[in-house]
Amino acid sequence: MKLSAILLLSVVGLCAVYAADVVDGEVTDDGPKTVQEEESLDIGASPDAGLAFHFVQPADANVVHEFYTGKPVKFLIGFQNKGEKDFVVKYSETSFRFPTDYNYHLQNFTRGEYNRRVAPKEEVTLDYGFYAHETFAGRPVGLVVNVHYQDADGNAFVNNVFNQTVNILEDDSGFSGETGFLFIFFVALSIGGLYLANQFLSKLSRKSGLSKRRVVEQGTSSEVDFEWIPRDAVKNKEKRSPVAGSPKARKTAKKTD
Amino acid sequence: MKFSLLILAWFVSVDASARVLIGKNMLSTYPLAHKQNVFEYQIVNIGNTSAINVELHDRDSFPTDRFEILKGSPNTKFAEIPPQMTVYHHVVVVPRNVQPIEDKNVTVDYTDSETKQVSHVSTLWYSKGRFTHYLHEDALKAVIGTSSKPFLGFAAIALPFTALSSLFYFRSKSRYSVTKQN
Repeated sequence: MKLSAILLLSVVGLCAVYAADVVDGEVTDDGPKTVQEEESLDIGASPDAGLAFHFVQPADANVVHEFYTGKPVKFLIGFQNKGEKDFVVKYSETSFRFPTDYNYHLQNFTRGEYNRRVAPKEEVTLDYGFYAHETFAGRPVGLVVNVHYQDADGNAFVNNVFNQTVNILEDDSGFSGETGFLFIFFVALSIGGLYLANQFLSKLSRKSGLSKRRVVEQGTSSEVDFEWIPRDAVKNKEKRSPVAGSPKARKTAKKTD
Repeated sequence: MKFSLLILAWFVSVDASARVLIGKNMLSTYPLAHKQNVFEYQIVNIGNTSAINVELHDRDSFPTDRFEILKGSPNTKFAEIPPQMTVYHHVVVVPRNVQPIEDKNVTVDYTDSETKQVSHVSTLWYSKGRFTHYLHEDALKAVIGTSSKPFLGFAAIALPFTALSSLFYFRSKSRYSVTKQN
């Protein structure tokens, strides 16, 4: 009785759910999306495929997961067919994800289209490269690399070959125009500041009377330049007695003599 | 517990072997005919054992009637590549003509030092059927060359101001200079 009641209730519940969708009249286009989501959940790796991943540039990226902006990042993907049927490696997809939520895509890179047939017991190496944009400088991002392939029967497979958080660093090895002009600007500012300070200090010194000592005129030096004076005039002056004083004083001097 | 650990260790040891990956890059900025083009091969052993008798084959990419090989050889041998090591090999070629060249497979044959198993790895630089176009240097002049027009334009704008100003200054100095008297 209990079981039959539970079954009846569950059937009624299911009907109610579908009925509600019909009654609401909502036209949803969830069909294809739902199928795609189901496919992504179901698609996995093939046991007959052995994949390997290795960074070739930068050389130490395999140990230290750090990339520089503006510099190429290259890696190799090894695909080994351990089965008895052909595989076709379709493409690889590389993307940056939010480090704490890998379902949130920050950037999707262009697919690496290979369409390479791999015979049984054959190994191939595929390569791909990308550049990290400078907007990602100084932050960690999740790097995800997936390889899509299918077997001879048309079954699709996806293999995640890299799924880790990497650090994107700013490349400051080369000369930066911004830094150079900033340096020139600061030099010009400092020179302008020194000039203004000099002007201000000189004004202050003038106001407070701390001016330079004025040179007091004390007449010409005793050394006379005789080059422009005729020699005759000099001789005549030497002949005459050195009588000083005014004509009146000279008369009184004569009278006393 | 111990028995399961032993089984796990056995499985791990069974998978230990040499595994080689190949990469090929063109180090020159542009593929130019009648100029030296440098290619770099990276042979990486990501396995746990050494790869011995490693042979690189890429002769098909550089037919001798179309390329002159200056340095290195597209076919070369390495005695041993230790585990977790990368070997670099460089080839310098000069294309004889302006031409598109189809990209061919690069193959590496190697032997595992432990199991003596011979493996064959190939790589496809770009995708099959693509061509690398070796261009003439003149075709890239607009991209890689420097034009004198911007410099001439700058000189035409800057020279009148700087030359005239200096001319006026020296004329004034020569006419009206006053020697200082202490």
